[in-house]
Amino acid sequence: MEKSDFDVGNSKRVKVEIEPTVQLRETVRVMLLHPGNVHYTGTVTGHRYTWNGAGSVIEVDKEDIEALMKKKSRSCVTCSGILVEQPFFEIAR
Amino acid sequence: MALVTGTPIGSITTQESLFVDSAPTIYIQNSVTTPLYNPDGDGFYWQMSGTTAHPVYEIGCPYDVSFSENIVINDVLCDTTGLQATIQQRQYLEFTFSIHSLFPLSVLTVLMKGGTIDVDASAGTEKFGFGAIDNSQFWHVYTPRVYDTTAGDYVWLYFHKAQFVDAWTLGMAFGTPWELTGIKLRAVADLTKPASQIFGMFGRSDASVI
Repeated sequence: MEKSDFDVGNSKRVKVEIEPTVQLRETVRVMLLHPGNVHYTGTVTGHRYTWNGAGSVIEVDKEDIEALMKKKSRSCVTCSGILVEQPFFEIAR
Repeated sequence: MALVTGTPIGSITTQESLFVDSAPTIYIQNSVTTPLYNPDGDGFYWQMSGTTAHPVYEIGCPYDVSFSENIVINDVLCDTTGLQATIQQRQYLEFTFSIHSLFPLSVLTVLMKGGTIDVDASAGTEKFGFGAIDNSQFWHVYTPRVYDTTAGDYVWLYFHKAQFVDAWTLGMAFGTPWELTGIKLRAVADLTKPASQIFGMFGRSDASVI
């Protein structure tokens, strides 16, 4: 039998948290309206969603939809002094 | 105004005492899209329609805006009589401007020739990288300027195929807003368009005089 260097007396107990694999249940198809790649972590499921480019569509868990649809990009148009709000996402048909 | 003497006879077109001031609004859109009027009823290709995949970007707070052209000029010189003509070929048209508005980064990356924008909507961050310049990226350019807000009269320039060229400078002087200077938007020929408008067009909408 191979000899081990592991010494139980000097060892330290650490807590390792393993992220549970999120199983999406009921899903809704959501389209990205914002230019570029966008990441979003679902507030209920904790699932990490990624859209690659404006117009891309992915499946999103229904439980994450409410908070997701509230995400808006706000840009202050300096010259005209107007605050423009644009949604990040749209439910895809 | 007709002179008492010396006025030419026949048809004379005089220029109006109407002046356009201030810079136009500058819009750009990926040139893979087609213009809104493709063409319009008069055969001109212009205007934009933003899509989800290819939105129209409005350049915020531009200043020092100027528009110029670059042409190759060669004289036709004869050893017997000297200059007989000058051959001119248009190479490109160019918008030069600076901006104070730097946000959002999704527009700034276009102006700085940066990479694809990456947004984390949960963390509230947006990022882009500086890598190799994408030389295959071209833009449509549309620059309208309303000169009579009551009547809605305006002029516009439209270009089919433009690139951001040359080196920019991001000025960060004490007590002044950051400024991105030296932005050059160079419009080259789009050979898919009619010969009379391969670079683009200049238009005016003014129903009271036209």
